[in-house]
This record gives sequence, structure tokens and C-alpha cells, in this order.
Amino acid sequence: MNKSCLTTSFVVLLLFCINWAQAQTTETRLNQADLMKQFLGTWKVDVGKDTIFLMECKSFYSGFDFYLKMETKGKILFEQKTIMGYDKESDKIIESAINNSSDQIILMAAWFTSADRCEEVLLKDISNPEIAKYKWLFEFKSPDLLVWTDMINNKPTNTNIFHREK
Amino acid sequence: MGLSKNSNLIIKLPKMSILESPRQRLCLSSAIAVFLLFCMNCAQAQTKETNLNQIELMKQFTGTWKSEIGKDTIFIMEGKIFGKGLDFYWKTDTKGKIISEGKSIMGYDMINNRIIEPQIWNNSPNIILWSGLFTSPNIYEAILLKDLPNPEKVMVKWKYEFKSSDILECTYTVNKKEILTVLNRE
Repeated sequence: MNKSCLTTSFVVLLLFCINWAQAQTTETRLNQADLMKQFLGTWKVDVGKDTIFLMECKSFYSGFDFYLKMETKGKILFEQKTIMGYDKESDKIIESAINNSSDQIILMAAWFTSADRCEEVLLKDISNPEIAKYKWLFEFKSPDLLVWTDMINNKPTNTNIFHREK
Repeated sequence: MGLSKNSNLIIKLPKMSILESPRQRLCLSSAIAVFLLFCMNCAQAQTKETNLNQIELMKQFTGTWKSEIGKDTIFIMEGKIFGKGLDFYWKTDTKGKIISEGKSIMGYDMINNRIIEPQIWNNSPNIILWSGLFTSPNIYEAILLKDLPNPEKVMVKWKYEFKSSDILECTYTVNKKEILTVLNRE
């Protein structure tokens, strides 16, 4: 009788633990593809006299399509196109970019660490992001305010505050 | 006597050294220079033969390409230059209705000496990363980036062959089965 009682209690405890662990996982595992939707729209920042940095994000099925440009008095100084999409294997967003000032494609991996904070490193650093030389942080301070910080060796080197264009 | 002659010869040989005559020194320097130039020429030719200009060759994809792949069904692919890369859009259309469509960009990755093409499709929740290379001026071959460490074990691959500047043969291989599509430049 005692033995059976103990076994039952043990099984109940185990079930409780499994349930609790599942609940924890559900709570902490962020929906990366869904959170990316916060980037949708047109974002703008004044980066100098008569100079603006514009970022347009459009959805394309499960992926995203970005166009970035920096211009002064209508003259384009820099422009970039990127494609972003979810990679199930790594549970990260993969970004690839081509721009007018480089002959190379750049591959990056991004992931939300919280609902409003996204980190990004070069794809080659995906296995050790904490020691990546280059890192980018994106923080949604509100649905219309995005803070983009460039980091080198985990130290901020440049910050742009983007406002959503109406 | 014989030993004495040999001794003389041994002693005389350094005196005959070309390094001691300015004219002969000049001759040696010229010979080395000519030899070096020959070697450099040879190395350059090798580079041209084995290292194709991947960025330049990619431009062959630009333009609008079309293929009738079935009754009332057409496949259209558009490639546009952006910077040193390319921007693609493609769709399969039946009687004006889009059956499938996708977008990608293509660019050269210097680290791996490969061309990378990330694709987004209407029917895939994941981004698909292709990695390819022009193996000859008119043949581009691509495999999935994740298969790059084991290219001999790939299950899917693409081969694009420019038969002319206006005809592109696309062969998709899946589990050793080949599917051929011929695209014509519009």
C-alpha cells in the first residue's frame, strides 16, 4: 500500500515537473518570425545636415525585403537591399545584404532576445555570438521608435534613432 | 701529374666564375629576369584559367527570362543588377493566376569564394540559402549552403547552362532525378 502510494506520488510529481518545464519553454521561446514584423514600414533618421537614412521593410510571404538608403539633397550616398527569412535549424533570422559600395554579399544572423530587442552578428559568428567582433542591436522603444546600435568588440560605436514614417 | 692537373682545374674554376666578370654578371641577371618574367606569365595564365571572374559572369543572368512549362502555364524570371550583385523575382503563372513566386538576391562571398543566393518562396516558411560557382564561363552550379562541407552527399542541386546569351538551360537535380527547364530571354 505504502509502496504504491509512493510510486503514484512520484509519477504525479514527475508529470507536474514535465508540465512546468513545458510551460517555461513556451513562455521563453520567442516567435522570431512574428517579432520581425515590428520592422515593417518605413523608418527614417536624420544623420547630418540635409542627410537622411531611410529604411523600408516589406513582407514577402514568410520573409522580409529591406531597402536602405542614405541620401544628401536627393543624391544617394549609400543603398542596400536585403532579404531576411527564418531558418528553422538555427531558430534565427538569416539576413543577406548587397549594397552599392561593396562587391560582396554579407550574411548575418539575427534573433530576438526579448520581445523588443533584436541582436545580429555575421553568420560566420553564429556559433559564438558573444565573441563576435561586429554586432548590431535593434531596440524597439515603442512601435514607432527604433534604436539601432552598431557595436565593435561589444562596445557601442554608433547609434541611430529611427522614427516610423506615417 | 694527373692529380696536379686536377688541382689546377679546381683552383682555376673559381677564377672562371661568371660573378667575376661584369659582362657575365649582367648576362646572369638578364637570364634570371627573363626566367622570372616567364614564370609570372605562366602563373597569370593559370589564374585566368582557374579563377573565373564570378562577379562578372553573374551578370549573364540579368534580364527577363521566360519558359512555357505547361498548358497556359509560364515561368518568368527577372534579374536586375544592384551594386555588384543581382536582385531576382520569379513566378509561375497559369491564366494570369500566380501558382508560385519567389525573390532572391545574389552576390559574391569572398570568404568562401562562392556566390550566395538566399531565396524566399511563397510556399516555404524558411529562407533557402544556395551557394554556387561558375565552373566555366557559361555554367553555374549551385548546392545548398548547408551542404557545402559535404558536397558529395547533396540531394538537391542546380545547374544553369548558358547555351547562348539568350538561352538558359536550368537543370534541377533531386535524388539523382533531373528536371530540365529551358528559359528564353525576352
